[in-house]
Amino acid sequence: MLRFVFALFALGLLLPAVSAQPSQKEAKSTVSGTVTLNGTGVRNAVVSLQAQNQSVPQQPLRAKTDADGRFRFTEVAAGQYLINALTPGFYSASDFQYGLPGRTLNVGKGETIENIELQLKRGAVITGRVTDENDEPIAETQVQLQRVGDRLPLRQNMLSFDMHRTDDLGVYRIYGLPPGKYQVSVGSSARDGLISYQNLRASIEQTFHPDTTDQAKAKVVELEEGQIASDVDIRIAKRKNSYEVSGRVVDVQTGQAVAGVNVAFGFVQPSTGRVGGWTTSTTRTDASGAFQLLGLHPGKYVMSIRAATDKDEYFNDPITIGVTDSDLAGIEIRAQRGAVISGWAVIEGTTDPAILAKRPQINLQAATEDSTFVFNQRSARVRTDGSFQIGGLSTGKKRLTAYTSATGLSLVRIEQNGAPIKDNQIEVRAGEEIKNVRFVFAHSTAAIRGRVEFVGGTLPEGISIIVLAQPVERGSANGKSTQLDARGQFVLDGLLPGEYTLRLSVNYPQLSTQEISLLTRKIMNHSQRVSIASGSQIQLTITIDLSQEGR
Amino acid sequence: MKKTILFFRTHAMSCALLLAICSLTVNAQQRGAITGRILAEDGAPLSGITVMLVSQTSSSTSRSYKTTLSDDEGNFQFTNLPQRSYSINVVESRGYILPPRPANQMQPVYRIGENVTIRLVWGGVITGRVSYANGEQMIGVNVTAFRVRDTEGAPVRTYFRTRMSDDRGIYRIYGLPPGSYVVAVNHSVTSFSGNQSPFDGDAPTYYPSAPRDTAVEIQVAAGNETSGIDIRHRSERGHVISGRVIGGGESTGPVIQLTSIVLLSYPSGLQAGFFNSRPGQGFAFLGIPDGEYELLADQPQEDGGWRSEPRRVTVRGDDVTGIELRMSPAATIAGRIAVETSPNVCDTKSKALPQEVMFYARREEKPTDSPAQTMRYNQVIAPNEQGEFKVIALMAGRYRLETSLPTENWFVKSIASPNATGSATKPSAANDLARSGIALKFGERLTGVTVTIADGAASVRGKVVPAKDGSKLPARLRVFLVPAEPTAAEDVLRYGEVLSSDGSFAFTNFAPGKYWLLAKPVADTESADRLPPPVAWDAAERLKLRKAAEAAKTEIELKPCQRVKDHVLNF
Repeated sequence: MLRFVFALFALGLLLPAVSAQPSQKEAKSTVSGTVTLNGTGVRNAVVSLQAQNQSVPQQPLRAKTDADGRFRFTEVAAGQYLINALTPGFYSASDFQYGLPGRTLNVGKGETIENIELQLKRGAVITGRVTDENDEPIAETQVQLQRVGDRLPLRQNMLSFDMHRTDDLGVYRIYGLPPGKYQVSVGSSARDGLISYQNLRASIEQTFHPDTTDQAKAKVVELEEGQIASDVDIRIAKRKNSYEVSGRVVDVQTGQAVAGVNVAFGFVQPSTGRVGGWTTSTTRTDASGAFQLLGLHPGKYVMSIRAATDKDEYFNDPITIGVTDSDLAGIEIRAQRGAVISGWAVIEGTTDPAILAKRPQINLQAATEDSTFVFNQRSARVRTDGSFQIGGLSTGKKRLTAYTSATGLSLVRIEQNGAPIKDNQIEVRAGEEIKNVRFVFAHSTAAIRGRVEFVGGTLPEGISIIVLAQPVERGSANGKSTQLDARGQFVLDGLLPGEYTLRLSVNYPQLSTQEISLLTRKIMNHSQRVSIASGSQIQLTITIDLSQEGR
Repeated sequence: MKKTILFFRTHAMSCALLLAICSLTVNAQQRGAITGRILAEDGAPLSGITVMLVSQTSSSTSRSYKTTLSDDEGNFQFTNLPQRSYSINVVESRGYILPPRPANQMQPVYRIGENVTIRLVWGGVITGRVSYANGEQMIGVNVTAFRVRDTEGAPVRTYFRTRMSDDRGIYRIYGLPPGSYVVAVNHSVTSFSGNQSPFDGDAPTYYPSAPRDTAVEIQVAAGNETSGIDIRHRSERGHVISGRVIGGGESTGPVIQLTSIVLLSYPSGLQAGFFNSRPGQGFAFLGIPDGEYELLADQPQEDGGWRSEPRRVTVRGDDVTGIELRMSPAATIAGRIAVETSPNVCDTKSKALPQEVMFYARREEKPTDSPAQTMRYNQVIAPNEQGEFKVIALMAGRYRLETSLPTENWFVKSIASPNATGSATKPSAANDLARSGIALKFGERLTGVTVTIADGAASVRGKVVPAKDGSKLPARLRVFLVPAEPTAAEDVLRYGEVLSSDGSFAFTNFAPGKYWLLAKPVADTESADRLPPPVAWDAAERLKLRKAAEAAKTEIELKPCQRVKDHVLNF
């Protein structure tokens, strides 16, 4: 009866983690559950349990389901994981988003976690052929799917990339799709000013099934669970010419060529004037400072230089160019030698080598406050010894920030020559070398653990809840957020001592209905104060009433 | 007449002295066009093909590209190009592909003023269905076609292509150069970090349902579709090869420095896995069947980068973990071009620029070399405007610098190392690198190589014809040019050899002088995938060749700037 079958091969293939796991002996946990299709267990499905927030990506743990669809992981170290069934052609309603499969799962020490249910649904299929104005197949072009009402096309991961591409006959076949209303298109839209790499001289203007460049006139493909929609063909009217832009980058002070930098191009949206779709040249400027960008469609672009290596020395005042119907040559980008901020990233109150080793996971950034341009910021990674250098800075006020994927690290203040830098803003004069800047971090083990209980109703399929802890006093500590996991639990860790407001937020991949916006409002209305002391471990339960009477 | 040596005048110097006219100096460079035509094998013009012109510069990261589409007659042109070396790529379109060429041969180089004809091959297709042992389709699994033999049946190991099966288990791999293929399901050749598949950890299964040893080869002819290549998965667990990379560069800027680790089957050289490793991450190859392998780590950087020595790994019934690949700075060869003022100037109008020269560091391959030792990296490089060049990321071994010169007016006079008894431009046996080759140890950085070029080169073009009426030429011939003067017997740069399938030959960019011509049949067993080392590289073979050429009594004198055409060589 159950036709979803994987071949029988060795059970419980566990792959060794590539890098060393924390070696301290701690009580391990077990995680078990079932993979189901329409309520029935799926046998021989591979389930992956992948540790999150690792300094370096690790191989996931893997287990295979038995005849009843049950899986079991033993010897699981505490931490946050992503759990999902690797079942191409099927999807899971609980997936965060199509192309981003899985649910988070927080695993404590010595826990026995049971009854994790991974519900599969048979994916739908869209297939068709892409042809040009002469009915010749268009090979090797990417087909995009966009759900009606979504702002962006469906995300393609590495596994799905291949099926979104047409073959030599112009045929594509996209499978494993959740039900919904889809618009199917090829080509790049004028709106995002995409630069075409595929067919550099003649790119395809975004064309929807069956043959329109007007999204409003696109024929919508409606898919039920597991349905196959064939002959979803796309015929493009004509190819669009694209052009080359070339020129030189020169140092304004010396007149010398600037070699080894990338040139970034941002598309100026005609309606709003906003700059988006930044693309960086694939090659660096050569010894004569020459740069070149291919495949630009007509439109206005902003150009800005960007360091291609660790040597970040230059900036430029972004210049705007207009591409109409020919190549543009001889563009001169006048680069200025930027200011440099250097110093140290320190972690207060610790000499623990394991914590200090997290420093290379810190990214530091200096950005112009009213920055309209993505590249009007410079960043650097902290070196193993804790030192850093941010170069290529333009003149003016810069806001300093730090980003890190390392758990437990929070920026507490930034100082120069021992004195705190007010509002984390620093005035940079032309070509200045600002030394002795210290980014001071604290390491914290304090955490809020808890669960969210929904009463008076059930949440719709595919909804995802985010839990946020926001510091009451702005600037005193960093906020944290996490996804509510497969058990309805959450862990917000590495919090610095202080007062926090705990809130909930909602992610819903499908089009919002009135019912959902009502639910969303109820969930987002929740707010509570939590006080964190050094090293404190807080347990709490949040109850949300989904009934009509509930707030 | 006293000869003087000029190094190319540096633009940097003129810039420093005369800022205002610096840009004029740069722009004063000659500009020109490269035109060409794209044809199918049968000579039919191909329209709408994207042609990509790659400008060869001294840094591999700053190469610039230009693209155009061929018109209805297959014509294309690139105009207003600065004077330098270019290579041409064609974007696969409608199944048409560039034909494969020997892996250890310098790619064709073009310069302004040239008219190029590019013939494309119509690629073949392999299609079929992949299933589990019970007949159920395998969804979303990689299927890879490896080209293992060329159309002549000689082994090759440089090409593979992967596509994924769909929800019906059907795959279709197209654009395949003609030859023999083996097709594998779930091969780890293209797996990389971050990509999760339910089939990870399974060993690959080859068509029809076999391990590699008993895989059935599939013939692919130009433009042909071979269907029904159904593969039944064997569901065998593979093993893990894992470890970490030690050393290498630490990147602290906005760019994350990845180390790529490649796993090669030994001794076939087929790629068995590829992994991009982030700093500190380590590497793991899953689903590896029992066998012999070679591992190699590489972290390319502008100034030379880092790499590991090849490491042999044997997998026998168990995982191999904890491998440490130690990184060292990659070997490099650096030097400059010198132009000798010659009494002979073939063309007073056109002026060659150093950046028009192309270098190819060709490794002396031995039959005992392992696959990793013959892997190619950035072995082609152009000098900068000052004539300085640096070939980076080289394997340990002995290298010969092969050159492509701007016009037929130039020849390479000498290649010399510094710090020896001979001079840079008139090397003695002790520093004649053309004669000895350049022996590089792992991680060695050789500098100060001087390549001297001179004007007044001669060339000879012609055809080998059967000596007796009615007799036939062998299928493949190798034609040799051998210096006749006794004093030139050890001047390797004056030896030439070309492979010919129709008897025609061309020797260009040779020093004027007396030569012998000699043609020899090529053994059927010689692979078209890799060129054998030229005979003149080996002292003993060189002597034998010279004796044979002398005995053939086919002397020809090439005068400075002479262009001999339609020379007939009897076979």
